[in-house]
Amino acid sequence: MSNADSQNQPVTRLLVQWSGGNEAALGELTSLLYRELRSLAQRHLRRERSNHTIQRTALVHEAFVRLVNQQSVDWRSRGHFFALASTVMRRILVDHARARLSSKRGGGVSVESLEELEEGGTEPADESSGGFGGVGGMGGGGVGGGGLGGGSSGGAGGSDSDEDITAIDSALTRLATIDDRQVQIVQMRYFGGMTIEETAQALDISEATVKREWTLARAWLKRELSKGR
Amino acid sequence: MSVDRWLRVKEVFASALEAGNRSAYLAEACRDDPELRSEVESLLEAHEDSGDFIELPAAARLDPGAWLEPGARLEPGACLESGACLEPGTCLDPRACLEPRACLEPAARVGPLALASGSSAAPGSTPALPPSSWIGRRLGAYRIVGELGSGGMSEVFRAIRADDEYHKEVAVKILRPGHDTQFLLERFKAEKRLLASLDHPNIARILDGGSTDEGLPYLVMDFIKGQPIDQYCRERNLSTRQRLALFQTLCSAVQHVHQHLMVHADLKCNNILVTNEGSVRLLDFGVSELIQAIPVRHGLMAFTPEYASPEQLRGDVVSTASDVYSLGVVLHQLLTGDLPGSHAPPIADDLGAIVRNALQKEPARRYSSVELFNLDIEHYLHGFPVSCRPATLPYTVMKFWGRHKAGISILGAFVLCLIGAVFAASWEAHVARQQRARAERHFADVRKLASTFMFDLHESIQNLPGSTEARHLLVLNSLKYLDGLAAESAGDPLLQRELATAYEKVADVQGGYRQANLGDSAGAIQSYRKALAIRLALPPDAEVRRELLRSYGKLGEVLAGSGDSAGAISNSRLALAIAEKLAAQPGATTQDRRYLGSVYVSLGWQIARSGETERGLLLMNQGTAIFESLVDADPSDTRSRHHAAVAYGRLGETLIGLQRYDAAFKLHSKQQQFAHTLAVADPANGELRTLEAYALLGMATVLAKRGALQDALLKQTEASNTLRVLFDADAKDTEARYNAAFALSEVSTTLASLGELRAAELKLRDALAIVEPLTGTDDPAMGHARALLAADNERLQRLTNRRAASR
Repeated sequence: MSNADSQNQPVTRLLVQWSGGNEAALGELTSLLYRELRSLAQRHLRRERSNHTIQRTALVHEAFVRLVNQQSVDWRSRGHFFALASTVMRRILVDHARARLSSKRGGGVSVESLEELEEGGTEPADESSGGFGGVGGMGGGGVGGGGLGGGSSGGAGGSDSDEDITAIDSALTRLATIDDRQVQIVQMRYFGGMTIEETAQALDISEATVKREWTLARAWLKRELSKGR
Repeated sequence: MSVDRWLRVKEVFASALEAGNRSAYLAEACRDDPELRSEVESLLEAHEDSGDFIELPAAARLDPGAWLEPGARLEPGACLESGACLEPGTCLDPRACLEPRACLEPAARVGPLALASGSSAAPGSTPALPPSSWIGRRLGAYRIVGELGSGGMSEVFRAIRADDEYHKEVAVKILRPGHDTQFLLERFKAEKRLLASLDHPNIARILDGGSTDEGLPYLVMDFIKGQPIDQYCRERNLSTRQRLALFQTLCSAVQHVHQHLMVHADLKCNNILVTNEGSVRLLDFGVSELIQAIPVRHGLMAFTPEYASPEQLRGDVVSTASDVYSLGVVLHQLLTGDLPGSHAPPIADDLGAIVRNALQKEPARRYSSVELFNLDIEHYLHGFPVSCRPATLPYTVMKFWGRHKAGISILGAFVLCLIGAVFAASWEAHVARQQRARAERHFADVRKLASTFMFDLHESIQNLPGSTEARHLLVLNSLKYLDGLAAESAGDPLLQRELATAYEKVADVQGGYRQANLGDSAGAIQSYRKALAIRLALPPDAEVRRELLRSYGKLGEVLAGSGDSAGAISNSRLALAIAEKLAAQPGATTQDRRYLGSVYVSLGWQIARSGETERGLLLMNQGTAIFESLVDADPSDTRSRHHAAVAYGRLGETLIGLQRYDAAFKLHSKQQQFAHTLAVADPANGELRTLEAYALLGMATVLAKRGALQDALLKQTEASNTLRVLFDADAKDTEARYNAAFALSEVSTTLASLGELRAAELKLRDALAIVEPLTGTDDPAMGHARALLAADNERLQRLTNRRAASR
């Protein structure tokens, strides 16, 4: 299986190459990470658990632990990894939110209805069996109904809706024209699920700076989103 | 906006946030630039308005535990139990809430309890109304029928429900006139809200509240007919075990109180009743304190000195540790009949150590929670080492001995024999060449002895909690010895086989699959490979092929655990090829069929994890079918039953991932039943108990998914307790350590969903402390531990954010 074969070495190798200035490695590394992170996210959702392997975590961390041979990368590559993985997570989550939005608009069927997923023969497994083993899994965001995030109720209240996620995505694209670093921080914190401390380490800046930038970026995004309402 | 402009906005925004007088600062900083000012002001406004906007990572929406899902959150004070609070609206009325009875004269305090101990009205109390004038009056649905006692600030009456035919008896507590100050009323309000949120079978409930025509607040509570716990134990002459059982129930009630951010602050025998049916009820939250929420009240004694902790007596802040102390006094009283410091003979052994630990003068030196206190009693009852005694070798050995008398004596004998034999063999081999014949005879004997002990004895202790270290010593020594023998007689196939098996056993201890191990997966892989290399060189008879199969299978599992999915799958495929042939041949044994089943389940699990879920499920189902048919054919086949339980667990996990919850729940229930039956028959087997605990966790996941958070919490708590006991029994076992931390994280997640942030945080901190030591190494098999650590840190931060936001 190409997926399994690529588990340990290629990411490390590509990461080291890219960190060393080889921009050509970036494309391959990105698509590899996209595939791995999406399959991790799916597994994360499945919450597989035996006595042995229990995975429930900030996905970019898990990806780092699984995919990168930590002895062969220095702190700089480590930072690059988290930056890239967070960017990739942004893509995955935004693609997913879009897919759900379009399916909501399309059929008017609630994709979140658990009962529907269980009783009908429409398990999301179809996607995982075909999609993640081989090359075909790279398609753009076709995670579909029961895949990623199907477990969230997505209802009212605190957690952000699919609309919010896509709106945050476009607002971030606008923010990128004036403040790259803030975009990076938001990606790491919000899409990568990293803490202030981890973000500071990955970007090699102080925690105070991360906090300051994060606070402003949040306020800016909040304002952008309320403009649209 | 230009980048320069943005940098300026950034600067002013940051300074404005830190400025003491924001508008003055803005006026100054943006003197000539109204546009800048309005830009920053609108950002500041958005900031104030942002709440927890995007603080929760987007990926948390993937988390099926949905632990921050708004709908799942219960307001702690919201009177959700219909029975617990008849008029939810009254909770909001300060006058509806009774006083916390912060009376100055402890001796004068009489709670609902006093009705049991028959106290009379306190001297010096000056009610505006003589108590008798209350008799016959009606308060809401209740008619007062008798006096029960009175305290400094309140009086307690017996009443019956007058508006129905059952005439339910209740206790009514009425605040005395003159005490309805704003301060006390505020406290009643808080107290009643918190009490209404307590719903525990061992805590007396608040039923209702209101105010009298005169405007005096009153509180209606369960009327408990029972005796104080010490009196109950004495009169029925209960055994120590029975007393401890009652005490453990009490601990669970106090734990519940702590989970709701309160300390009881007045635990004493008279506040703990036992009914005729033997059920424990905790009463009288008159002086309960909100943890960390209420300032210290110097000089205001509101407790009972005999039971009060030193810090309470000093007037320092009370904490859960103060309740631990009081519980220590209660336990002392239950065990000796007397208060600590009296002339009662000291309590012996571990129980004495437990009581002394609870009664430490320094709060920090006591048990850090009632749970740990309770856990030590649990350990004591099951013969495990208790945490409060230093784990000296003789003590641990003594405890181990107590639990496994038979096993130990063999182990001791074995180690002695082995040392003696090795010494003798080498001495004879080197020094007494002329006695060669005799030495050879001896050599054979010793070899037999060593392998017997290694294989039979190791088997008999390998699942005992606490045996990891012993197993390690055992196999290492045996290995050294067999290595030496192998060098002396290379080419002896039988010896080579034993050597391979020895390497396998060492690997099992180093980092074996699904069993207690030392967490050294790299070492385990190496040792498994050594065993494999030896076996590959042997003539491949059926027995050797079985051993080869085992090598591949175990390698597959360890590689999967280290994240090497490809390596795992290729080894499992090799195992499958052998297993299929062995099971198909005419002389196939039950064990051959079990091997085949196991390989199907392993390979299926690994394939499912690699992304090919359906194919994985298919294989796992094939394996499960084999075990089910073996169990059907022979219900006493515990090994197959065990394998079936493991298979159910893996299937269940996979199905949860696919959101096929009904099917997953059924599988986890079966897993639980199987594991439970097996564990009951083999109580010393830690692996079976772990298996059952994981079944409960799986069921809880589904329950939580369905919104049955309380049910989920019950199961998770049970699992967590089991896993904690196992971990405490063997701190060297990395598997047990991880399991204990994982279960605590699960409990914490559910508590957070229930809105019990403080309790969730405590659990999470426990989990972090437990898992942390695992994450120091680079061992790839500890990836899951590092992941858990990262996840827990993340959760902790979110929890603290949430708590800060809710303050």
